[in-house]
Amino acid sequence: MNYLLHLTIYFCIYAILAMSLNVMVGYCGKLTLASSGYFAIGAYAYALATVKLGWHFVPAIFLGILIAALASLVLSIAAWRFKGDVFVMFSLAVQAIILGVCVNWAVGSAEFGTWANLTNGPLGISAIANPVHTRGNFAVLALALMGIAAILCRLLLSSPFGRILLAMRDDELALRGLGKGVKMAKVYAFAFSCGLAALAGSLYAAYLGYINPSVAALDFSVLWLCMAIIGGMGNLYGPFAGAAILLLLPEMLRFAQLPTAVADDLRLLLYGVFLILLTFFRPQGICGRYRVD
Amino acid sequence: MRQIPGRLNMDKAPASNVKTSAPARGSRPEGAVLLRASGLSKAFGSQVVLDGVDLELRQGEVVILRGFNGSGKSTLLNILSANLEPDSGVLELGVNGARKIFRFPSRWWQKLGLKNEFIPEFMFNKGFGRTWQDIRLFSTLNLCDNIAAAIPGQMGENPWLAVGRFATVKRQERTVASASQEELALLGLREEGRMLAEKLSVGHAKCVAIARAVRAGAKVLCLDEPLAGVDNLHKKKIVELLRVLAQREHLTLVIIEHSWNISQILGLATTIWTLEGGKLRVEQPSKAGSPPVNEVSESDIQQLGRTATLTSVRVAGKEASKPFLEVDDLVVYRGRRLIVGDYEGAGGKIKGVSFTLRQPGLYHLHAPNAWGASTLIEAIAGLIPVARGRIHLNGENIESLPPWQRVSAGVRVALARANGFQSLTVREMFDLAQVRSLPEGFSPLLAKQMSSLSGGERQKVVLWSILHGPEFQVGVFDEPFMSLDAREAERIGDELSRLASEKIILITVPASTGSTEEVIP
Repeated sequence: MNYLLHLTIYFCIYAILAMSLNVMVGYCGKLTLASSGYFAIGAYAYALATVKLGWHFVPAIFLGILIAALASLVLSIAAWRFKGDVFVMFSLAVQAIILGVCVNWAVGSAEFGTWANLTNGPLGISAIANPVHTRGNFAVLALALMGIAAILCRLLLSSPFGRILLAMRDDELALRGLGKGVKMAKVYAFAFSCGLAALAGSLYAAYLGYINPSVAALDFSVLWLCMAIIGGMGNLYGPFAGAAILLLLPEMLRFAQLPTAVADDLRLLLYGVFLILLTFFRPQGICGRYRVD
Repeated sequence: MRQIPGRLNMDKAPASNVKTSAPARGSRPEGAVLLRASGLSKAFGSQVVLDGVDLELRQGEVVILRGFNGSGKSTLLNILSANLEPDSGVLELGVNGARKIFRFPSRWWQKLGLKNEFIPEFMFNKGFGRTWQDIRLFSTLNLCDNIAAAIPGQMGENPWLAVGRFATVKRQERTVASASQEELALLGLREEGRMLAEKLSVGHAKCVAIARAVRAGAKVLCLDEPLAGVDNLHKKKIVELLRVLAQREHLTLVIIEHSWNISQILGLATTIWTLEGGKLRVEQPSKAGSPPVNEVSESDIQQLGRTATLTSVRVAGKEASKPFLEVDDLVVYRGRRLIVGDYEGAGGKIKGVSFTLRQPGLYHLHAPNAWGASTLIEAIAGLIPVARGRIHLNGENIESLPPWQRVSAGVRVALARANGFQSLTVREMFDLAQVRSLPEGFSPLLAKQMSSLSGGERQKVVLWSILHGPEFQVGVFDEPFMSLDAREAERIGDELSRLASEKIILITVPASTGSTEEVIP
């Protein structure tokens, strides 16, 4: 049972992340590698607010979302000008900077949580407050937050705003030529997407109780991107399908009674094989209509 | 809830309106000046495209903008819709009494983009809309959403309101959806509302693009080649649509069109702008000469399916024992959609396309839009898998050959939409195509990248690369004259006729030469 609850919580976190990427990559058509950076912003903001400031769960989560949404301006303003590969490189740079900040904002002997040592460097932050005490309650909390995120996604993306994003993805110049400004649409969409990533980061920090700079690692961005792509971009159901598949696929190996080292390698192999099969047979993803070029 | 502003009243406008408002042909309307430009200049590198263009656009005018390939028609349109900044000059807008003056070159702070109003969305909100040569519908949206996305004044475009007042937004969405559906119904596309725009034929897509711009609220509409690549049936529809826009909806139109299509819209025009050598000449339509019409004498007609025909325009030489090109019962799908071939009867049986070309000569394939001529050509070239049927070249079966081997077997294909390799220079294009002798008139273009050429120039380079490349036996050209000017089209036409004495030259004709109506009953 505990194991199932653990899976549920991870599913919620992954699904929120896949939704976040779905907005940015599926609806806006901007391939980003910075999502783990915004995930880390959420995780660190939550950890610092609860550990050092003694904040409660809800305000701490909102702090993370707010900071991530503000930080998303870096990406959205870049997206006013850059597109395609250049934007991907830019997002990679943003991810690298955030990772660098997480690792390096820690001057040796300074006390953790001060301006000299904000992130506690590679040691990470431990003893992060968990708002609920049982795993079951946490699963309910995670499901509720995922539900709210899903409802927001649905309201936003199936509204005229979502249609503007899709039209912008197809042909930005034609849309501007119809009198629709695209700059603010990008700002809002990116802020929403990065806010979702931060929400997932806060949940992650609260659940594990410990974070270190590896939450900002590129591997995570790539994993979540795979989830979003496998699930299918540009619609509302893909993120759930993608999160479920990439979560359960490696978990199934757990039952095969393999040694850990072998299972880890096998998991990577499985990802690879799955991605290759998908690109051949269903390049638009399980639920998708739109192909990421 | 905000009212959604007026739409195309094709059916409902009172007939009396037409008489009172339609300006007589040949007389310039004396409406208010909407746009005045003086001294507009634009150069790309060392090539001067516009050299001090002065113009004045008045309310209710219908302007035809013409000129040879590369004369800067599209450049001028791009400037008028703020997609391109001129090097120098003054642009003065005066729509709805509000005046706005742009001076170029713009100042450095405007270039930073902080408060630059010379951008497409600003121009559109002043009433200056445009359509594109390559149509540019939102390809992954359906037709309904294509129009709905353009409708102004939607509350739900603001994400805060989309979430905060979702019930009101939903109500407004229903109005918007029925308005766009109605718009499509007026274009005769009632059933296609859910169809993805990328699957639409050119003729319909151009109609939808025009309707979309009007629905978005354009008062001045610049149209970049609205009739190019469109068959006669849809051409009539588009001309009718333009007539309604100009005469009932009082829109001001600027239409770029090529010479052979001009005759169809000349009746609407009040002014002709001719671009030549970077200068703009303003004329009355009565003085502009009528374009040449190609007369073809059909001798041999093969019927392909229900609506298309294959005409031998000129055959030479003796009938070979083995047919040069033989297509037998060809059926091609794109995804699940049947493109080449016809459903026969109720049983769902499919009849493929068959034809045989036995002699060298020039053949015209007359097919309406959406018939699948381009797909047929791709199938001959081996670029799309064939569901059923045989393709023979000189009696040899070629449909198992990959495209590059078909080329060595003697097939050449020019597709209508693939205009060469964008990042190569013209010289590299010719080298790649193994063109040995450079045709005259290309020397100023040689060092340029394909992507910097105009649509017609690209087409020209692609055609000459095929015509002057290595020997071939069967050349298939998809709408070769589509974006060429009269002078260039004549040159290519002569070249094709010359080659037709020993090769098979098959060209698709989008029913724009005027001869299709005689061929298709």
